[in-house]
Amino acid sequence: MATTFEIYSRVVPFMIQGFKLTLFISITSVSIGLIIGLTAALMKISKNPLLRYPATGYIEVFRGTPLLVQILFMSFAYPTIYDVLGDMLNDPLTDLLGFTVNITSTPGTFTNPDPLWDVIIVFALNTGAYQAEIFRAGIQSIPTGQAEAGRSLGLTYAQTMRYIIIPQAFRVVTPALAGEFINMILNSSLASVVAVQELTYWTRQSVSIYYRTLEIWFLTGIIYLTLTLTLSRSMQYFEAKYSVPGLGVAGTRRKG
Amino acid sequence: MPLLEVRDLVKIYDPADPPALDGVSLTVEKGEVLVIIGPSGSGKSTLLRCINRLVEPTDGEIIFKGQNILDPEVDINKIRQEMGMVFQTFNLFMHLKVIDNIRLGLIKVKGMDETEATKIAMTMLEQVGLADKADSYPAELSGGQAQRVGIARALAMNPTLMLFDEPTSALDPELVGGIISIMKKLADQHMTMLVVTHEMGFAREAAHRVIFMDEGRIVEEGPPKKLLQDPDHPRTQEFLKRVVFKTE
Repeated sequence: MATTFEIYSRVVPFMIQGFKLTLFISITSVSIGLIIGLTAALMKISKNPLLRYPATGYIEVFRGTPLLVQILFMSFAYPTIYDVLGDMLNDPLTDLLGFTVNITSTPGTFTNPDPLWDVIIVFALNTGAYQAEIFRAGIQSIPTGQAEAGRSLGLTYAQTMRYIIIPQAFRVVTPALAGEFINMILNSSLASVVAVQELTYWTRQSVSIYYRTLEIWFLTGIIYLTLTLTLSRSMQYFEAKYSVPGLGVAGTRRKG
Repeated sequence: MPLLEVRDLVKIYDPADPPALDGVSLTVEKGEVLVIIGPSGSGKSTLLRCINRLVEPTDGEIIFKGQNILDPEVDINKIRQEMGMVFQTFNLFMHLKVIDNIRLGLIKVKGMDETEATKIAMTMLEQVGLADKADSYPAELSGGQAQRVGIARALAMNPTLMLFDEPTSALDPELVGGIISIMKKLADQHMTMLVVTHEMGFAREAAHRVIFMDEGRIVEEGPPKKLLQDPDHPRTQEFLKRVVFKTE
């Protein structure tokens, strides 16, 4: 029987490959989710119902259904989604961009043979909904006097948000946002159910080849833990670096 | 022509409650210091906030420099540049250093470059005696210092009219004097000022006119000597008796 070391030396190259994809999925989803989340938060606190209701609906749907269901739905609704999108977008996009756009499903398939970007879109929409609620709470935690002071100087609503409210809200929500980033990394393991070849996918493959369940899953656990610990440490570093006295969690801790 | 004219201003927050402002009219001449006194809930702060439209009035007219600023065509952000506001709770931008609190409006609203904005900001800080605090954050200042920065921030925009919303109410008693003396200095420089305050001393010494408000209406107005020492209206007499007894 092969020693643990021999097993590890055989599976590690696959693990590294999977780890890279896990990192790519997480970073891409969180970044897109950040933009979606901030936009949805600003829409949700808007007085305009045409902005507020769509944002509320989006947030409720993605926070109110399991992520696994969202992934499987996207996966199996794939031919329908792509064909409907293609009908809607192909002609206008071709006119707009000047080259032929052809969004379509691969004929004769039930799921997307290359589901990576489908999964990233679902992850981005999912984490975007959670981040939207984090940002909304952060923005609304800033005393109204801050906005009043900005407006009284002659700043517009957008400038007040951009230069006064959002910079403060970011400092308030850093810990919650770090938690959501970590969630996203851990949730990315669900991509393995639709055969996206990330870390958990390769772990399952390795286990089914070598039958060394305990050692291989242990290794995977260590890799995820290292990743999340590194992330939470670096968030703490940024939190301290950008902290100002009297603002946010880090700001209430006195330096020195 | 007066600098500011308010006509029949009405503000209703909730139809179930009595109106916060129930037909208020007043004028402010250029260079005039007008002090508004009255019990809490009398509508003083609402009136002040309506004048730069931090609160939208329900009805009435506000004429500033001959222009009705409640007209939907008016660019309120332009008007606000000419009205400095000082708040009870200072409202300094917590994430910005003292100097950036003052520079923000100069750069983003007035479009100044950084050098010019810094020069003006430092001049303003020197005027309120806080040049050495330029690089501090608001949370590192005492209440009195914070309010002086609040005043410097408003003055840096070079306003035509200054609105003071109970500028000393959140301060420890021993810090009130410093703020009052800055406001008196401003009055001496003929700044037009609209001041909501409970500081009867300031009203007596610096105001040209005092207005007493109660239940959303102006009850009585007149020169400070007359209104503060020998008011006509029984409601004013009653209020002053209580306030003077409390502070002196």
